[in-house]
Amino acid sequence: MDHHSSKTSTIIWNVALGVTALVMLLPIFWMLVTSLKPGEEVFIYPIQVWPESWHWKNYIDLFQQPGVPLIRWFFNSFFLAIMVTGLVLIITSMAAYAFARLKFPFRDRLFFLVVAAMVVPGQVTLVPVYIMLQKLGWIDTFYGLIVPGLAGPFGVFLLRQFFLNIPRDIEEAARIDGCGNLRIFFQIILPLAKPALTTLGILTALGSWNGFFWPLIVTNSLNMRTLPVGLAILNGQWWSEQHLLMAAAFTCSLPMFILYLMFENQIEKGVKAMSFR
Amino acid sequence: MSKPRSLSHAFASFAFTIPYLSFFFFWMILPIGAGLLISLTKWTFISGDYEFVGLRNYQNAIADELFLKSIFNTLYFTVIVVFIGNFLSFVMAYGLTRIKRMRNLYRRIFFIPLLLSVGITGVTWRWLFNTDFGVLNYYLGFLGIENIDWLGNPDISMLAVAIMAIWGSLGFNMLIYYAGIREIPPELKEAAVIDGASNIETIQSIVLPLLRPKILFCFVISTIGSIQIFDHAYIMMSGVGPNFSTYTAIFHIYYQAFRYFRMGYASACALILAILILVFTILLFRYLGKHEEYH
Repeated sequence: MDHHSSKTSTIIWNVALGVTALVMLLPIFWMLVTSLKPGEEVFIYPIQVWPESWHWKNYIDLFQQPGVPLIRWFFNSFFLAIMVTGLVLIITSMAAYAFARLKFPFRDRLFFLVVAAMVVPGQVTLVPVYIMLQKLGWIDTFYGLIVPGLAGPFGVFLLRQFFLNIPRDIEEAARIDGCGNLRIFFQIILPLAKPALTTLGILTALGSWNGFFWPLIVTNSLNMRTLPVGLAILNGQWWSEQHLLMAAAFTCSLPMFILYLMFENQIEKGVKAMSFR
Repeated sequence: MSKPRSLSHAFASFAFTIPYLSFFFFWMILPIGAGLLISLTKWTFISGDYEFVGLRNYQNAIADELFLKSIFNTLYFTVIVVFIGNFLSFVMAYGLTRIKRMRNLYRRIFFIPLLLSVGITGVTWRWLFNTDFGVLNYYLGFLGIENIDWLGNPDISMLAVAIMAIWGSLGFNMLIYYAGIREIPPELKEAAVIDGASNIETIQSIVLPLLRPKILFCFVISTIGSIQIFDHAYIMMSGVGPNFSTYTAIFHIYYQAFRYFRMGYASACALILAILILVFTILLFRYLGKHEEYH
């Protein structure tokens, strides 16, 4: 391979990646441009890609549509993501630590069961969980949205892996100093596990914020819907108001864009961590 | 000394595991068992009455033409997404290792769809695919391709859903492949080049074999995800698609359970689908999971 041909191949790869990247961006681009058009410019044939005048007001109008509790949906999605993430972090980190470090009867068999449950696809538990929620009166409540998700095994698996790699000497030293298990966990292990906790936290928040199927089934009143489900409802209602629909779509994407910019490395680490299963 | 410590140890183990394990048993193990039992009953949701019917739900499922159609649609979608999606992701990941500048920019762009809910991207793609007012047909027009009825033509609509799904998962697979290719020791590739191997030969003899665990992982993840496809089609089509062309297996389960309240039958369909997923996963492990040592 001489110098010249490697230069040509670099150019070819740059073009291939560039074109694909443009295609990848096309939906986002179309979302943004449409969201900034005045309503009457949306359905013009043949279409005009760029708006004649930038109509920022769509982003205000969006929140003033009658019968569309967009702010409530925002709140629901936020509250759900924060609750699920917080609870998952607390509950799974404790269990993962016990599975990694403490000795108790049936420990390895229990852990095997947890891992085995990871391969059971969600739709198997769909009907029973729905019936259970119905019996508890938790349909259309935050309990129904939050609680079943706390049983997910992924966090236990991920954090246990991390705890196993923490050198035992650190705990032994603390134990000799008279620290109990609780203090060791909260004052030594948890601070050390910050990177893993961040990764799991972001993945959980992302999954909760973007979840669709479960909120669609568990909620049925307009006020209990989450943002993604609300958008799907607007999708039917706002067919002739695509500019508002796209403005809503972009507004909903913003929190995750911000989260990504803040935690880019942890998010990518999290995605890679999943591949070591 | 040892006794109080082991007591506190037992207490700690209990206190640490009981919160998670109680959720796990109540919302995971119990529903799995209940799902198996419900699938053997005729369970009418509204009245809560049930009657044991043995395997009749399973017999009904494999004789139900609509269920079979949904399985066929699902598998058609899965084959497209798994093969084309992984091929494209690999090519892009490989390309990323061959360029010097703007790697991070490309990586970020490819990653964007992973951040967004299907609720968001679904409505966007639906508008993008619009026959007369969508920007996709507008740009395809420059290439001489006439207006395509992406969402209205039963022969094409599933392809449209697949395009959206590939767009959505490309960044994930690419990230895995990219990390995998970068882990390959450069000496191996250099040795192949010195031996006179072309780029394609290097890919075939060095890159792909060493990437096999990553390929297996991406194939398994995209197969499992694709067989459970629902959100994309549900939002983009606002329903089952023209002539039930985007009616997938999860659609069938969802409709049977929550429209017609046939809980027993829906559970049986869910278990059949779970078995199908298991079979495909085992097949993938068998064909891609062989370990080869290169040292």
